[in-house]
Amino acid sequence: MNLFGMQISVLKGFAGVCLALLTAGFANSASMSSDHSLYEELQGPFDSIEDINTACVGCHNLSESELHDTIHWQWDGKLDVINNYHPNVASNSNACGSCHIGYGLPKNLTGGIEPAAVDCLACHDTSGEYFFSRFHQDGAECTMCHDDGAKALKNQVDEEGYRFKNFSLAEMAQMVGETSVASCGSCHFFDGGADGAKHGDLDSALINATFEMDVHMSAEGANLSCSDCHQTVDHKMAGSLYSFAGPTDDGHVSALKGPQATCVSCHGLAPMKDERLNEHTDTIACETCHIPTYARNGIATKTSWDWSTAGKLARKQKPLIHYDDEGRVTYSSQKGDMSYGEDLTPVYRWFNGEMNYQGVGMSVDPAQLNEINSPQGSAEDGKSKIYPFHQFESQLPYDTATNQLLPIHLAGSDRTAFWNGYQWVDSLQAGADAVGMEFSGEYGFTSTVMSRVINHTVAPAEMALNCNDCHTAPSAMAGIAGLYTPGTNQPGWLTKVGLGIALITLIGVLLHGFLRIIFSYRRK
Amino acid sequence: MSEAKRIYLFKRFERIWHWSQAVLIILMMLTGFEIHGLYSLFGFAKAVDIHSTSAWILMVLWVLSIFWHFTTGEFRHYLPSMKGVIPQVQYYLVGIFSGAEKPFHATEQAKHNPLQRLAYLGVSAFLLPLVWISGLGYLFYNELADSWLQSLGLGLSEIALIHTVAAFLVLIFLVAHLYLITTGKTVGQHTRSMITGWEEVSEEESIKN
Ligand code: HEC
Ligand code: HEC
Ligand code: HEC
Ligand code: HEC
Ligand code: HEC
Ligand code: HEC
Repeated sequence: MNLFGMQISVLKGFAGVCLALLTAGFANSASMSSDHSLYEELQGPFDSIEDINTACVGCHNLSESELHDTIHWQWDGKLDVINNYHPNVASNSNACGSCHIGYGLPKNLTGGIEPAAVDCLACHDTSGEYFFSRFHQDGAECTMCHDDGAKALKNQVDEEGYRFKNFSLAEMAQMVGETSVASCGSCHFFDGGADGAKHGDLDSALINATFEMDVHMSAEGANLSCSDCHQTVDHKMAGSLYSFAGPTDDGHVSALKGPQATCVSCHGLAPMKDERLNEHTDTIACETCHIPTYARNGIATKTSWDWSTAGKLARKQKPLIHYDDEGRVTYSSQKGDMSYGEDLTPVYRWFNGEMNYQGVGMSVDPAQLNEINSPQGSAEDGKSKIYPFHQFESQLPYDTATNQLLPIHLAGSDRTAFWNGYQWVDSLQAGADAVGMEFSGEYGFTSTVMSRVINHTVAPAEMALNCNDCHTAPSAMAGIAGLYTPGTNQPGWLTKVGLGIALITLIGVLLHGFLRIIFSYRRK
Repeated sequence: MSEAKRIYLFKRFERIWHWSQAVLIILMMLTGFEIHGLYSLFGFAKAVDIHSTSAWILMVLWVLSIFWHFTTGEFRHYLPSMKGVIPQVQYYLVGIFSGAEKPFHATEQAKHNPLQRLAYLGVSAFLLPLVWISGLGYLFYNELADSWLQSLGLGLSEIALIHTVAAFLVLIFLVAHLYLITTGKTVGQHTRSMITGWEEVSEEESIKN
């Protein structure tokens, strides 16, 4: 932790960072007070990762019940909503379970997730290797994190796999410590089928980020880890987009007191030396100016996904995989066509922190682009600001008889799982059965769009949007309802009429002057 | 032609006020219409800076000049009256071409012709205050928005609209003004007297008035 660097920025003019600094400081000293390698309970040898957990909770006897109460355990919201990447948890919970902080999820999840053993190392590993053991246990579904089922990585694993055999489970258990960008990232960087695929602002480049990639997580910058911003109280963190406790709740939440991650809790509402810029923070979110583009770490994010083309097979029923020049999967039989983008400009819109999600079986209008989730907010509600979004489009299956989106049964050992049988009707039927929906047997594909807020990869200050980006046409703020951006969106008639009358006046006086000259010559 | 006589029309303060106001208003128009998005000259940020700095100087000048006009009684030159307006209009429309005698001649008691009086009163009592008040609304929008601007139904876009309409009116005034000052006895007569303060009038004229 670069305490000195942080202190300098405190002096630069905000008190909030001071609090962040204090908490960060306390967390650090905690790690000094206990050397886990000395504990007998952790000497091992451990046969399985479950055994490590048993050892941890022997001492940390409250942690588990704390965690059962958090979003990381309960996945509240996430369980029932659909998204347009891997659309539904229902019937696929087994495969999704790789990223649950327990040891796998039951095959069919109805209702909530029951309390069970918690995998402490999923978050508290510091060796950087634990994820390799965790995600590659028997039966793990490769395709969830690797669009090509890890085919392209096979060589790398063969050649470099030894990198992940440096530590025994016991050694890893002895190395526990604070969470890190890498440990949180082992789940948060790889959702959506590839590194950075789903969150254009969260990818593995952050582990060794340069200042240009992310001023906060880079060692050259603030050297923060995820949990410095996403603070926990008894393992609970606020700010879930599912719980509607949104990011605009920024009225000076102290980083010490509130676990809510907001820019303002550290920087305050007037962090800029330039007062003119501070005037903007009531209307424009910090992220809008300070994350001018995303997916700019050399790792692409997905921009679209067409499930309708999935299922084409090569000879002998072998799945097909196509890569582009960069080695990204552009087609796979399991998933269909996918496209990617780097260094993307966000879509800007009003947002008050509330995100409306749709459940499995949402009604669609096949003729339209259907919003899977909708950020709430407007110019009028008095609490919205302009935020940057990644908009992601995909083609999802729906029942042509009822115009409802259908859950897909993707993964599992049975033939109805799409990734085994490649039969749409079977896997849609199995998906529908899992959630108790009717399926007419007729299906089509419809366009959907999802909006994700961009909050990470804050760029160095000098890369922020500048005046001209917004105040001269074409404006980055163009087309946002109810927003008046000086210099760009006054009614067109105004300039025409104003200049028109001025011009007529000018012609009038010139004519008058001309006549004066003519007449005065005549008089002579 | 009779003897020329010089009268002292524009006091030193008035002249300084006029010319600094002229420079500032032209600067504000240049930067203002750039902010409006008509062209780019200084760049948006610089334009905003120049615009708001000039605005503050102008407002100080404005307050000083109100003070000056009332303490010196000079405000009398702007008291409106319809007397002589019609002959003045007729002169601009017809007489000026035929070389007719001017209906009005400046004196220390009345240095502006009846049309000028009306025009300047309109500009300084209505147009410029409209620019300044809407401009202040713009400057202090963040501070005022929540309290009362919004309750009046004035969002930033309405304020900006009023401000821009007023700015176009100032532009139109400027065009007309720049032309009309060439209608003295000679093209440069009025300009010269605004520089030196002195205006040359013939004996005969000053008697007639
Ligand atoms: C023998 C008891 C014991 C065992 C076993 C144990 N810990 Fe700890 N742990 C402690 C003590 C004592 C502290 C210091 C607490 C404090 O300072 O408040 C601590 C601190 C921690 C901390 C916070 C400070 C830090 O180092 O960042 C974490 C995280 C942690 N332990 C995780 C684990 C995990 C995960 C396991 C299982 C691999 C584990 N512990 C096993 C006793 C134990
Ligand atoms: C979802 C990730 C996650 C999991 C799983 C997790 N922790 Fe934590 N834990 C955190 C975070 C984040 C912190 C805050 C400090 C930090 O970043 O390490 C924390 C802090 C701690 C602390 C420090 C004191 C405190 O409560 O703030 C202890 C001790 C701890 N965890 C033990 C455990 C144990 C034991 C387990 C397994 C039963 C566990 N944790 C599982 C994320 C996790
Ligand atoms: C500089 C502070 C900061 C750091 C460091 C940070 N975050 Fe965030 N994060 C935010 C803010 C602000 C939000 C928006 C508020 C919210 O949703 O709570 C956010 C939102 C999120 C969200 C929910 C929204 C979404 O995109 O789905 C996730 C998940 C997340 N962060 C994960 C991470 C992970 C993982 C890391 C570490 C690799 C991390 N964050 C590091 C500030 C930070
Ligand atoms: C946990 C406290 C914390 C939070 C939350 C936080 N910051 Fe920072 N931020 C810092 C610190 C500390 C620095 C100083 C980094 C440095 O330059 O070494 C910094 C630096 C910056 C800089 C200046 C980078 C430069 O070029 O010098 C910007 C811009 C910035 N933050 C924006 C944001 C935005 C936007 C958010 C919300 C997404 C945010 N911060 C959230 C602590 C925080
Ligand atoms: C309208 C765009 C805009 C918004 C909104 C904005 N910033 Fe900035 N910010 C900038 C620009 C541009 C700079 C670079 C200023 C410079 O180089 O002089 C900057 C600079 C900074 C710096 C470095 C200090 C400085 O003055 O150079 C920090 C820290 C920062 N911003 C944080 C934030 C936070 C936190 C928020 C939200 C409360 C925020 N900014 C909102 C545009 C913005
Ligand atoms: C992200 C886009 C964005 C950037 C970058 C930006 N502005 Fe603005 N600016 C706006 C919007 C939108 C408004 C209207 C704000 C409102 O409705 O409160 C505004 C308002 C203003 C206003 C007038 C009202 C007020 O609230 O002060 C001024 C002056 C201004 N901006 C100057 C600047 C300058 C100078 C810069 C560069 C240093 C800049 N802006 C950068 C979007 C931007």
